[in-house]
Amino acid sequence: MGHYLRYGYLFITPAFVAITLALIYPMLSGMLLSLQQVAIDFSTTFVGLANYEMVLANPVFWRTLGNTFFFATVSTICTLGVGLGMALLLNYPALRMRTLWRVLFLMPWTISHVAAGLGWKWILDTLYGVANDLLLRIGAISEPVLWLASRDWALASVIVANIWRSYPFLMLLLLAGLQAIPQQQYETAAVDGASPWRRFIHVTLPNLRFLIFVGTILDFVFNVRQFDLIYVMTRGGPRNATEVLPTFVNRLAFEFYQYGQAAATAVLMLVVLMLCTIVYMRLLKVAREQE
Amino acid sequence: MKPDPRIALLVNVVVMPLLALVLLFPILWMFVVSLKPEDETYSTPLSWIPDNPTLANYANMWHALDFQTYFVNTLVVAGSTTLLAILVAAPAAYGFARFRFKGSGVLATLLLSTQMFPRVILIVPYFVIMRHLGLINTYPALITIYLAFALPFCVWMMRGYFASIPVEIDEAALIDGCGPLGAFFRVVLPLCLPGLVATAIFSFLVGWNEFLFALIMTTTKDMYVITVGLSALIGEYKTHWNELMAAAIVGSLPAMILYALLERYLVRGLAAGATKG
Repeated sequence: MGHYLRYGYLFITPAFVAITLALIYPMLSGMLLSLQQVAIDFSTTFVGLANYEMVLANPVFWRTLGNTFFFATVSTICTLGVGLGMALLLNYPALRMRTLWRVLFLMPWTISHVAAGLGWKWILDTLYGVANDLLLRIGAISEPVLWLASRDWALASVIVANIWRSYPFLMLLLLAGLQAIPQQQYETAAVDGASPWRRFIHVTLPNLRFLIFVGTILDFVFNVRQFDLIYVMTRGGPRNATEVLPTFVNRLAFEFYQYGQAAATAVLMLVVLMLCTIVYMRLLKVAREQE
Repeated sequence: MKPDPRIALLVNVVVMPLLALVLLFPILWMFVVSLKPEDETYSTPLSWIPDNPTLANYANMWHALDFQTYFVNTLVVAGSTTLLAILVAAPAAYGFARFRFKGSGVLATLLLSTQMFPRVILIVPYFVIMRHLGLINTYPALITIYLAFALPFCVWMMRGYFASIPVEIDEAALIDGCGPLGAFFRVVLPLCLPGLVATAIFSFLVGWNEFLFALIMTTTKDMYVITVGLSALIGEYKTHWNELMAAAIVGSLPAMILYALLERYLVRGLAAGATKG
């Protein structure tokens, strides 16, 4: 098919025109906007790095950065734990009605972040939420906890909702990985007298390493980008306790009309995300070389 | 390596049902609240099974709160996005699966990497551009944005399906006198129909559940999609939680059903990725 090669370009051209117009152009335009001041009538003036200076001097930005990092790191680690546990259970050889369980446990991932966030918001309501109702009934607490309305609990509450919404992705990914492990590796280990725990450490984990690596990176990126859930549950409050970079950008743009600063914050977020990915890959390379 | 029958019994009869109850509890609770009359929602201690179950909340959200309009809007936006995405992504996926042209590797990586970008960087520029074009509160604005989000993912997914079709089939079509376009449209594409349908449904679901950009691009109620309609019910002077939960349940049903049906495609796709690694 050698002389048909030029058709390769023909086939991909529509997609690249669409991506350039609808994604790459707006992205570059966003970077440009971060260097501009946008007036009320949307006329722009070039201001150099002034937007970045304003953002970096704003204590809320640093608080937000910390929140984002905490939210994403804790969420990712816990989601990995829950996802791996669920995958192992679903891969249990004597499990019956496998498909039914898999579909049921997938459900939290199928509903929108908005619906999930609203459901949790009402569950965690101080006066009429079922969480406090349950805990009061069993005597675990003596008075209602302000899950979303207090600075102590808000971020943790949002993280719990987020883990609930996102574990099925890692569950399915790791389940696919578990099913791809050759059965004879387990049999060899069993013949050698390895306990279930040792089989997990020496057969299961090494085989899953690549997927755990890919899954955690993807999940971390999803978590850093998370807007919907936090927006509907707390709008970033109380007093910035759950403000993360995406909600902060949204607030800067559509509450304070600081479009330039919002664009600058988004660019900073891109940089942070890329740095995180690079550091993570480096750490992983070091860990691999030490093996 | 035979599983202990006692543990098997424990897992099947106790652990799994209990876990399902715990993990599905938020959804079950949303359903319970959606069936309660308003006064029962605000009387403590809460009733865990509605004393006076009613479907009035469903009727109210559909008519009085106008979720019927939001449903139609969501359907139009997600549906158009899907059609366009498949139309543009299928040829591109075929191009990447079949032709090794100059820069094809770089271009494929570039396309995929756009998927990982934080979308927040697009909030301000999209708003400014769409405002400039006078497209705020229109379908084309949302369709364009969702198309940009769905395309890379559609190309990636369909490339896998095309790659699984033997090249000999294309070659036979070429020998029979089809041009490359004919070979693609008349021979290879029909063979990939199941993959095409799966990809289409996934991109539909992306549009169905999206929130952030719909929130920014729509300011009038007649243009709201479901997610924006839901979030708009919060923060007004009074939140109608019963209707809100009814709307959340109905709004989630299509996605729940489609994902349940497509679950094996999802697992298969992930499994293909898993073995390649």
